[in-house]
Amino acid sequence: MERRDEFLALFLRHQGQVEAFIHGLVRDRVAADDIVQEVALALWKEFDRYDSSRPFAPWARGVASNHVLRHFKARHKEGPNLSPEAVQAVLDASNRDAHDVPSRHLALRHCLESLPQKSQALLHLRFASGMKFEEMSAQLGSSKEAIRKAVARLRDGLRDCIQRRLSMQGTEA
Amino acid sequence: MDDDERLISDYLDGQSSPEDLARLQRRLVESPAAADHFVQLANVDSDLDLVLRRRAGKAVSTPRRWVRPLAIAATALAAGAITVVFLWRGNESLDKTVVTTRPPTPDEPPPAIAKHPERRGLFWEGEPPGLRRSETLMSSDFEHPAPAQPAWRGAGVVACPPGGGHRHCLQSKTWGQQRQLGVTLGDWRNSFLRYTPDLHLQFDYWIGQTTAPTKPRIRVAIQGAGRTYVLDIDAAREGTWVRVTAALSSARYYGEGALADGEAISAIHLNFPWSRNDVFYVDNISLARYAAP
Repeated sequence: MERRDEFLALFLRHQGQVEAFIHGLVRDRVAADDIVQEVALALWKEFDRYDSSRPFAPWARGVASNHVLRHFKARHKEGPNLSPEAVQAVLDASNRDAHDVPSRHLALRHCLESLPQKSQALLHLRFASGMKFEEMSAQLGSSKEAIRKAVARLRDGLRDCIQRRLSMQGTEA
Repeated sequence: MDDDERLISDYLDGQSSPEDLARLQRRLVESPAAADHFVQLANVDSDLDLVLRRRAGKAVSTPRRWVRPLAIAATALAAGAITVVFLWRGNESLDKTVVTTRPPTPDEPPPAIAKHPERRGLFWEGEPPGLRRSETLMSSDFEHPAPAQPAWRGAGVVACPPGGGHRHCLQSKTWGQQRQLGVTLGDWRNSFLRYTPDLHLQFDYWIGQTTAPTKPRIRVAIQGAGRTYVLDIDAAREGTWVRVTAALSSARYYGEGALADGEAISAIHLNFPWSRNDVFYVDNISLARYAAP
């Protein structure tokens, strides 16, 4: 297999994990998308340094964390960001997380189906439509804080549900 | 909701105070469990973003008038069409119209200004190497916006400034958080473009802006995969037109978690991540497929 094909195969398999890592740390979606692209290019450029006897995802996330920190440094005047030590802690935690993206998505779909329609609609506005809390507040006639708390509760409930399902899958496997 | 959970949620929602951010950092560093919790919640966010965008349009009502274009776009996402999403706020007057040139016709060579000094998200530049243009999937100079180009829906077709003449453009404004420019492109019920590992597209258009942003960035994306361009527009070139060529290669970008083989490609977005509500004109749009000779 050519080096490029080897890279593409690895990158495409782990792209979702790298994207999730970057989007988790960088909350500006457009900036996070840009970093994902920068990281994809950096990974290709540095692929010769990759030790193929080691897992790809931790290496890719390590490269990604450097780009995230560079982004934080460039944006420091706009407000405080996570410290390098905190980013490292998130990187370590991401590397401990053994679940792949398709398994998570499958679990999420199941968990979403169990939510009431109203909750699904709330998540839809936030994530599918990309609305700000202020916009959701105006549309739904609730306070911004109430909507934020509701989304946070749903997020946490989904996290519990997903972890349960992933554990069950692990047990079944 | 415990304290870790609140700190993490506030961060993910972009609502952390400096004090809370400092506390979150301490917790992440001192507690692996807190860091695991952070990753799990961040993954939920990231996965919701992907999964819900792909499922969008199913049984979720959005009654507010200006949300309708979003719903249309979301429906297109789910149903599998190729769209450019055009969101704008209405017929606000153009009080800063300074576009002074017009885009050339498709047969005219690009003028000297038509270059992009910085392009990111690269896997290849310009036309895909070793491939030839095999099919123009759609194109429009908006001279005859309807019904000659039925693929374009919701387009804000206006006379090109200044004065308009006989030419027509799409008028757009940045909108909301996403600041997506767009027009619904294509009938979402009849998806004609599907993902294959060898899919190569080139999206080409001309953009003119009416104010003077320093280094405007434009992002062209198909379902989460995309490229960002920093346009070569500065104060000296204000009011001119710039050509953007977005080369999108599915084999190199749309991977796991984005599109499956044979799945309909549902959207092309033009994102204009500016902080102001600038006004743009777009003309001479085309979308072409490339294939091995």
